[in-house]
Amino acid sequence: MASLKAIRKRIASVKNTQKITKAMKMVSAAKLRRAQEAATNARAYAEKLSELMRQVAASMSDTPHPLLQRRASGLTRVDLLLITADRGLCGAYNSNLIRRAEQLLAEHGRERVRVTFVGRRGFDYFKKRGVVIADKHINLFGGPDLALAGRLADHLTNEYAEGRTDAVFVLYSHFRSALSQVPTVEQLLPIVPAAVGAEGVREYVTEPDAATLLDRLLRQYVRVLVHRAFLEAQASEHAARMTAMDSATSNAAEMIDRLTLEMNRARQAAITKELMEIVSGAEALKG
Amino acid sequence: MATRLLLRIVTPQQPILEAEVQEVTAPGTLGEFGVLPDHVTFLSSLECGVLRYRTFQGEAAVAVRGGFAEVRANVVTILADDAVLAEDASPELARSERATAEAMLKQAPFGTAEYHEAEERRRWAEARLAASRWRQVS
Repeated sequence: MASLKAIRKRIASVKNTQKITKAMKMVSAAKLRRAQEAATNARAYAEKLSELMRQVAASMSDTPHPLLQRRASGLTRVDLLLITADRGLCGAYNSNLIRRAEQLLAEHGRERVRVTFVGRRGFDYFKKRGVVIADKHINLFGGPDLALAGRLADHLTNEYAEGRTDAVFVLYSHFRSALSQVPTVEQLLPIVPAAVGAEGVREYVTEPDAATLLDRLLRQYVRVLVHRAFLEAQASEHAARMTAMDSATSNAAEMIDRLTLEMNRARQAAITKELMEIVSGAEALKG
Repeated sequence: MATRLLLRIVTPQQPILEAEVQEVTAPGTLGEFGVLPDHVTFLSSLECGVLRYRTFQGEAAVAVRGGFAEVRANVVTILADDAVLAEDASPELARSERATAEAMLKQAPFGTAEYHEAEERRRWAEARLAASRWRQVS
């Protein structure tokens, strides 16, 4: 049995760890709330924009825009935007995304895919594993933001429009709930507009002409998709970290309980041993 | 005959404004346009500039940073890349940002991406400055 002193030291150290995990959990909970709020605030814009994009695309369906056209000759060059976290300690969050990315690389052929990394974890994993790295945005204090989403989206849209890539995907963690985040692949380009539903195609007077307007709408739509992926990813990351830190905290509590029990046993044993020594000493004196 | 419009301004970050108004004047790509009740179904892209609207209480202004405007069934929806209400626009901040943008403009070669970005920033600072001035007038 470990000595009493050693057990006490262990307990103290586990208690310290527990304090840290508890603090991290609370920080993540607060950040999660903020991330969810940001996602809710962004929804009105995204919905309206995709409605307008759908409408104008439908009214122009006889002359499809290049960003809406699939490459007839198949995919020879594919771009992937991989969004992971910058830091770990968030359970299986990063490794789930990396696993899904590996799947996607296998599907399209590793040498055909160019990857743009957002977040250090994904980059660290893939940098020595023979993938084509297009760009990386790591160590983003405060997470990826709207401006970065705009820059990345514009760059990828130009790559597609100028024929340097045949499809662009984004891989991020979809925030389903605080307990469930699902790695999700979404096609950014070519854009697949949802069919105009019950609302019907509306006749707009447009300014400037519909073709120019559609071009602007489509480019803005890609920005919105990337921005939404960022928001989802951030909410997911904080949720994953919160869950991971919660279970770490309760694991620590369990360990403290077990160690305390062990410590009490060791103390009891020490007392018993001392008593035995005293009694046997006294017996010996009686002679 | 409708007598009022619903004006909604939203940005990718958050909704900015929702108000009942009588008239909206917005900085369209092909020039400023005005919207009165019972306007035709209309869609336009916007440039950086000042959007003004008139309510029963008076007039107000909002700086908008490009985007789109939809007019349909007496609802004007502005999808702006960014928007700042005149009362929130700080002239000091706008001025200092304009100075930064102008310094960038001097260094960036004409026609490059940096040049366009600096130009866009300068226009956005101008728009906010104009909006903040507007507040002082009214």
